[in-house]
Amino acid sequence: MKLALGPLSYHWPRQRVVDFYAGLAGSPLDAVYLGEVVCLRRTEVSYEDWLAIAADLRAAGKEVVLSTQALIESEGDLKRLRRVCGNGDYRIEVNDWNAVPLAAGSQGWVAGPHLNVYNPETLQMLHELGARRWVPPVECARGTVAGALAARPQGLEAELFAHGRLPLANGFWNGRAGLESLA
Amino acid sequence: MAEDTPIELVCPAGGLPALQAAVDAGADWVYAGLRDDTNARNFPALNFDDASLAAGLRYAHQRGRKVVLAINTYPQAHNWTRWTDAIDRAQRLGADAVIVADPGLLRYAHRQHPKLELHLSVQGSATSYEAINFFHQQFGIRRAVLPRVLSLAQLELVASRTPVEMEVFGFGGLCVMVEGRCSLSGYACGTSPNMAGACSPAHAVRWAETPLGLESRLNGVLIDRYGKREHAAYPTVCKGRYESLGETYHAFEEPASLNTLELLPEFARIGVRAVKLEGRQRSPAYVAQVTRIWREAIDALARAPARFRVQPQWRAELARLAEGSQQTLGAFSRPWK
Repeated sequence: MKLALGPLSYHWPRQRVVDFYAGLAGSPLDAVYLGEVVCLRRTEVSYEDWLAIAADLRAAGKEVVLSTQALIESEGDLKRLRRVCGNGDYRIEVNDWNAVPLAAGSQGWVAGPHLNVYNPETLQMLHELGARRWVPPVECARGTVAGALAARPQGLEAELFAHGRLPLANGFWNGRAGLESLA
Repeated sequence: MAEDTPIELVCPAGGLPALQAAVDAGADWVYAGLRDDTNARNFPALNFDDASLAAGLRYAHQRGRKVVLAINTYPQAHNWTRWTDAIDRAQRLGADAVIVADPGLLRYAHRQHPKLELHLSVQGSATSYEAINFFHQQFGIRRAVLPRVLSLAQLELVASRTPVEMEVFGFGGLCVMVEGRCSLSGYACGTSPNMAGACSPAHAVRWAETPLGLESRLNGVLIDRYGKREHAAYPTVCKGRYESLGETYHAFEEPASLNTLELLPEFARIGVRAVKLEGRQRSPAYVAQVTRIWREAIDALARAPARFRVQPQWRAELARLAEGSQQTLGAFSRPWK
């Protein structure tokens, strides 16, 4: 069983983000998910910063996955999405259906928890498009996950959200975009 | 879309009387659901069985209108066949289209019934043209119902990059969160709206008069407390008042009802194909009134686009139907992209 750290939902100052990930180099984590998943108007950490963090963590022996934004809205969001999906180096965690056609064909992409995947038929379809790991939505009960995995496509890994605050909702309002973390 | 093709009006029906009222008041389409968890308004005493749906289809078709069946929740392995049966029934009974959110179910419908018209549900949360075009290429969807988070500029961008018809919400209740991407009710109640078809299920709602005021609770969670003159609303987590940093207020968003009547000319200009009215849980009388006003407005726009004005009586009646709650243009009011 492997241990992964999901993407950061908090809006921290840049230096805190850099220090946080630098501190993970010697941790027992196998994989680290990186990138802006909430809103591009949070400009503290640039795409280049994320790539630098990714390079350091890879050098420390971690598997690095670049996560896409949980909701895509503007052309600016799509531009970033195309950069992430076309990075050509790191695996991608897809968190919105706009990213599915862009990630399809990339090496072993991850179907993230913000995609609504609840059944084997949808999971099978994503596998045919190249997904090799599935993180079920956080609201899935054990039976839902087990049912979807009963006829698991070959080579598909499952990764469960196990600890931490739950991202429960996505909203855009009053110019704020948020993953509400209430739990 | 050419500007001389009138925008289609898509109206809600929670039962046969509402369907008939919508048709009589001028709906081009009526949307409806079956009496189970295959649709996102799975509430007691709402929705259609085969007999009432067949009667509704007959009523609409005799008058040249269409009916679309919402099968827009997410099936799981153990109940998958209830959803595929719903698709089969829609096809067998002669529904003009189905509204579907789950990609696996879209694939089933596309393969089993290649001639069945597919609309992508707002619950599918396709927020831009990459996702919409993907569903078009994969399953041949004809229309997509767009989330209520997009601004007009974003709608226009989507319209310019897709062959898929765009349907937008015009009037009624407004989700604070993005449709299909919210677990707040599920977290409070233990049943997911995406899978079970009910946000704030009726069995979990409790009202109590207390010395402090009228309290609404959802599965025991205090959602709001109303003073004597305050209008009490059906409790949903996103629209409750909570204590945060010493203040008690609508911590997510002020509850408001969507009303975009004044944007009709803009919708037509950017190529919106259809406007949808929310409210399958509302009465036939409500459906009739809202439908009639929107019918008049769409007809007025088609007759004389340059002279289109929102009539004061439309405005007054819609304000009354919004039950005193604030009205909003929603994300359409945002100037930024």
